[in-house]
Amino acid sequence: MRVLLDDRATDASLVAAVAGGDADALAVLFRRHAPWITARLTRRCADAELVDLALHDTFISVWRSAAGYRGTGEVGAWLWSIAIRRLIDQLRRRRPVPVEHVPEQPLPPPAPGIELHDLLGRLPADLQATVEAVHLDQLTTAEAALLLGIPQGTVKSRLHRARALLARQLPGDLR
Amino acid sequence: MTDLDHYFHPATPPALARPIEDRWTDPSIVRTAGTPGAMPAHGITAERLDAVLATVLDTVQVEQVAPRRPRIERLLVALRVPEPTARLLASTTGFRWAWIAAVTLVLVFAAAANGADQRPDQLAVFLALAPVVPVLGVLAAFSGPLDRTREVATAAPLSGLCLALLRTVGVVATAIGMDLLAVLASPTRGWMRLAWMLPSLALTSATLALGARVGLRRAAWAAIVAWLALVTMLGATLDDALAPYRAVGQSVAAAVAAAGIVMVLLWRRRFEWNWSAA
Repeated sequence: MRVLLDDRATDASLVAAVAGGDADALAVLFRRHAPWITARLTRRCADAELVDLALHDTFISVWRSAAGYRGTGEVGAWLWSIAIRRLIDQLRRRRPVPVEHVPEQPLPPPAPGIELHDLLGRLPADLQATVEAVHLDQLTTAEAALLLGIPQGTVKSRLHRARALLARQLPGDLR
Repeated sequence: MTDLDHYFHPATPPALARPIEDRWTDPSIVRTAGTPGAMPAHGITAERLDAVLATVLDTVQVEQVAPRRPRIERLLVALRVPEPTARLLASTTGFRWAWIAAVTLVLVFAAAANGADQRPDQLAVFLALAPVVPVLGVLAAFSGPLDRTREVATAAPLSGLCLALLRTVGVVATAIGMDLLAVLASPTRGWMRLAWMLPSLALTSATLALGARVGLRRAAWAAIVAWLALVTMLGATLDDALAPYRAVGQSVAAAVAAAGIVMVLLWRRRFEWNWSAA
């Protein structure tokens, strides 16, 4: 069955078409998801060249492994799990070009629409980044160390501190 | 300040950025609002994305046209062997399915012929043949007419020894796998079934060492002939077909293997001229 290749096609049907070797479906999938993937990668790595390479590798991986997509979970989450690993692969090959240090100016309060990610918000920013990499993006300690540009031991100690801090704030029955 | 300004600001902690990310992929929001488009104010322009898409589609097109990589090559790549090495290894004659199938068949017959009566001289036939297999593999990998990659290998920017060792390791690994398969087919039990392992190592390293002097092809034939003559003679004179495979024989094999490895290392420079001379 030929899938309708336009903006109305569901992600899952696009992935199925890609698995069948349909390059047009890959292009639709790219146009739909590449902007936010690029944004998320950019927040984690300021080197635009590395981000573009990782984005390229992500969709090549999608092309090659679409048949392995089991259809459980959102396509977006699947794409992100590929993208973050392709970024790590790029970082393994080459350190990012350092950006000029931006002085930490106090931010104006966020627009009313944004809510704090509850659990993360209880931690200092450096611990948040570590918890995000390991627990939300499901990276290994080694991968997180590469992404954050810190030694593995520091990742572990930060995780330890984060858990201790969170445990203190959670009610007893959740500890 | 918009949400996006917040998102891309380096000082925004993940706790504030994550909810924005979640909105981009939250199915209930995406269903009505769609996924976000380009964000030109933050460097993510439509042109930049189009450029990446173009290279993706280029790569994809090449893959659609290019033949799929052989299964063995894909397996090697999956095992983290670098791609060029994998191609070189996979194109070695010893990895052709026809070759593997034919040799395994011969070995299995040799092993299985050692019937239920477990006569020692029939096990001896298998033990004599098994160490020859890796040497034949090396021979096939380096002999002109059988070697599909002779031109490629000759031009490969690797040292002769490096190339010879690389392909030998691959060939010997499959050969030993084939020998092991044959062992499974053998009705004999006990350690004697594995008595070919040290002789295999000895013969292969002797072939390589000798190959540095006289060329691998001549060395391989010499090793095979010498080995078969030796075990036949020993078996006949000692009136015990399995004599060459008992403790003394194994020690000699180990010594020959070690000596061969040392000589390969000592003569490594000679490979530059001789590995393909045969």
